[in-house]
Amino acid sequence: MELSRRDLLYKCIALGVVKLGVGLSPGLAVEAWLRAEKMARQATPIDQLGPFYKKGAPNTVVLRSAGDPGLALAVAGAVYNTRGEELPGAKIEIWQTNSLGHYDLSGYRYRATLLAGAKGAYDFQSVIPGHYPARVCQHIHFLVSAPGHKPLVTQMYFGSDPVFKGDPAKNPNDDCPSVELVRPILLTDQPETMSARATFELVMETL
Amino acid sequence: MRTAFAFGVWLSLTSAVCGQVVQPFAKLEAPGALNFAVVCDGGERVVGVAGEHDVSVWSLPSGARRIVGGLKGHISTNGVACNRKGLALGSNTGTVVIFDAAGTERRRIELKGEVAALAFSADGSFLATATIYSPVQIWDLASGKLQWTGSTDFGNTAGIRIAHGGNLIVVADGDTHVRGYDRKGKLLYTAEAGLLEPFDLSLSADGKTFAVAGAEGAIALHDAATGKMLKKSASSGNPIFALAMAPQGMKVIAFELDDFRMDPAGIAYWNPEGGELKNLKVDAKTLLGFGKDDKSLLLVRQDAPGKISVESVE
Repeated sequence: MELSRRDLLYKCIALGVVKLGVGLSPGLAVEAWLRAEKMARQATPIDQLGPFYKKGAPNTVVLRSAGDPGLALAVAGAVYNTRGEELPGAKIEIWQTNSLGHYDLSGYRYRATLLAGAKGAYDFQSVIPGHYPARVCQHIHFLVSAPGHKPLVTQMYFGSDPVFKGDPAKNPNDDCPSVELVRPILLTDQPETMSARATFELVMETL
Repeated sequence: MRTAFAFGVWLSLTSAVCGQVVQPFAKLEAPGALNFAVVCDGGERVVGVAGEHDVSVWSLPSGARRIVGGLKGHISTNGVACNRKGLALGSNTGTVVIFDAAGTERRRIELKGEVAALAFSADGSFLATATIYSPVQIWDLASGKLQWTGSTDFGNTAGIRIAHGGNLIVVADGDTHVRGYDRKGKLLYTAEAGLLEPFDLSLSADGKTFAVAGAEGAIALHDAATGKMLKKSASSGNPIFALAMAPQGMKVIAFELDDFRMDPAGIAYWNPEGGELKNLKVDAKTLLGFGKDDKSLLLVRQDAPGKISVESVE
């Protein structure tokens, strides 16, 4: 007979493989253990930093300006650690190309520094980045920092990117190191005011 | 100025541009078009890569060629390091193969991620590596063991150079800093390298200074003992992905790529002793790579598929 996770923990306690601290009953200990495991999250896969990171990006949640070409994009998410704890105050630096695939190297267009709010939440307004010859996949760079955690360098990709032919799991591309970084895109509103939405949770490893 | 030219007929092609003289040095033959070339430290050999991983090594100035094989994956300009003692090739699979000067494979190292930078110590006793995810790492080549790993605030090391008989390792890190380490991995300094990522650096012949350049398009001269920035040029307007300091004097040449297509955009030339950043009037689209011998900066250019010219800049 196969033991459940709960049964196995009770057995470990009974056999002394798991010892309990003073004042902790087996029932409380097992429930706390299972709760912590349930909350645990996989760290967000890392991706390369470069090549166009620029420090000192302004604090703004609106990256696009009126009249900018490209499909409007809203990205939202939250910052957690691998224990599932929210990380309010985490610093999130983002940078991307404009809709035509150009990075701003002389200024800070499509670059921003955000601070995660209560419950680790963040959001920003931008456009879907363009393609450029050196990279196959559309992407947004993220650099996330929080005290006590390993800095997270990663990138977000778009399920709507033609390179994935509608199915990133079946049609992966070497330019994107993990299908977990490819986010589904939700189109909203009317055709005249259409915009795209995506969510991207950022999970940091503790030091 | 170099006086011994391998091909006297080229003297007629000698051109003076921006006060610099570009002179023929050697002609090389390849089976086909090369993607890029690297002049090995010391200037005695040129390594060229065609296709994904077809590697040729030419002796200078004779032009004798031999083929070096055994590495899978894609080799980029960041994945080649060579000097008089050996050759290291690294690919996007993370495999690094080390050959001795005769071209015999001596060791393999498996890194976690695409190779972003390689550098040989002058005596060939250790190799410095970095991947697109990792800071500098030092490997003892006799044992194949990892000696130490550097650190960054975030991101990877993009450029590595080794000076003072292996006792100083200077790196350009993606977190916009340059760092200096001693042979045992003790961090000697961390210094600002600008607002944007630095991509490459090059040491002066005496090892007292080094030049750094990157996404900003400017070239900065730093003190190698402290990391302190001494001078900085204006921006060329294009990211600089590779540079070399002249073996004599303080001249620097740098390879500019346009930031969209990553196509060659120009070859910048800078004399930190008062000169402005200038553009060398050489067709950058023909440039395969550059480096230096003991006397001059050397350019490697592809005149036509399989027809390679090596030129000195003085």
